[in-house]
Amino acid sequence: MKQASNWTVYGQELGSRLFIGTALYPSPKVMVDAIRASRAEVITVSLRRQAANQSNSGEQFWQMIEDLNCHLLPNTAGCYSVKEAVKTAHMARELFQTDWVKLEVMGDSYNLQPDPFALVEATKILIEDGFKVFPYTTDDLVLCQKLAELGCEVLMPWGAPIGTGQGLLNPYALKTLRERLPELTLLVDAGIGKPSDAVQAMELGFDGILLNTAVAEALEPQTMAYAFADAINAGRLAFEAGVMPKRDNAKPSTPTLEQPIWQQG
Amino acid sequence: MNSKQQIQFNGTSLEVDQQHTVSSLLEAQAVAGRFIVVINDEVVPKASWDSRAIAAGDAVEIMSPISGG
Repeated sequence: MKQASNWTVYGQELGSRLFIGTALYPSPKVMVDAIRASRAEVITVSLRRQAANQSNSGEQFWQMIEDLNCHLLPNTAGCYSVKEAVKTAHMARELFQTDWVKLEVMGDSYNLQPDPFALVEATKILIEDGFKVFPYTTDDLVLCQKLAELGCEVLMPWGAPIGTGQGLLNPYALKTLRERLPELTLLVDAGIGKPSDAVQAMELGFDGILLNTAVAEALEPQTMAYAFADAINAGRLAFEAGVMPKRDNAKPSTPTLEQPIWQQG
Repeated sequence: MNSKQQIQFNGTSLEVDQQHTVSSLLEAQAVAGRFIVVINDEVVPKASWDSRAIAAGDAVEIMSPISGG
């Protein structure tokens, strides 16, 4: 099968255009099988304080992600303030030994919508601290432009709220981001429910997809991971091939030239 | 006999010897696996674990990797 072109994320060349999460799988083995099937080269991870009665928690998970041999993208999930997010990013850098951070600063607990003001502030601090920031953002154009001005090379607007599987709720906004920020690496992060949602985003010219729930909560996560891998590749190939423009009027696909005279006029 | 001091350890109060460094506290609490140490919201680099003394009132947190989306 033909593969879409390689791409670069903060100087790191990648083949797969799928970033996949490590949460919500029915078992560790299912997680490992699904991530392998997805062919993802970047996986998202997180961190938490050890429980009082678990002095070696995290070791099993660490072994599994080491065996997967993927690039790690730690997140700041659960943070609702600049201070929390910056602190979590610093802890993640120390724990996972990477400058990459998926910056999440939530503004509302109902739809887990990013707080645009806090996101900009936290991004500014973390870039000054030497991080390579992957902001989880809304699809607001001006917000994304501000994040780019601060030095983000990658932006990750939502397709829909996290875990909803609603697909691309505002394709117009995503298309506008692609058109207005042609130099930026753009991934749709969150809201992808099925492979066709991912294809739609890739056909719009997005560089990649970050998802978790759509695979982890499928009846067969490994099979769904195969489906997403193929879908994302297909969507990117379609974008690279150039999708034909839509027309209002029909146009015959079979040539009429040289038809017998009795069929004409 | 060592005198004692109160600290916060992973969110709960704990009475420990006054002489503890980060390293000896980790050993005493049998902390293992992949983790980092955060004291009063600041990451303590591993290179400092042997020298960083634990003080009364310190909030010590052990952070470990978990799955994430």
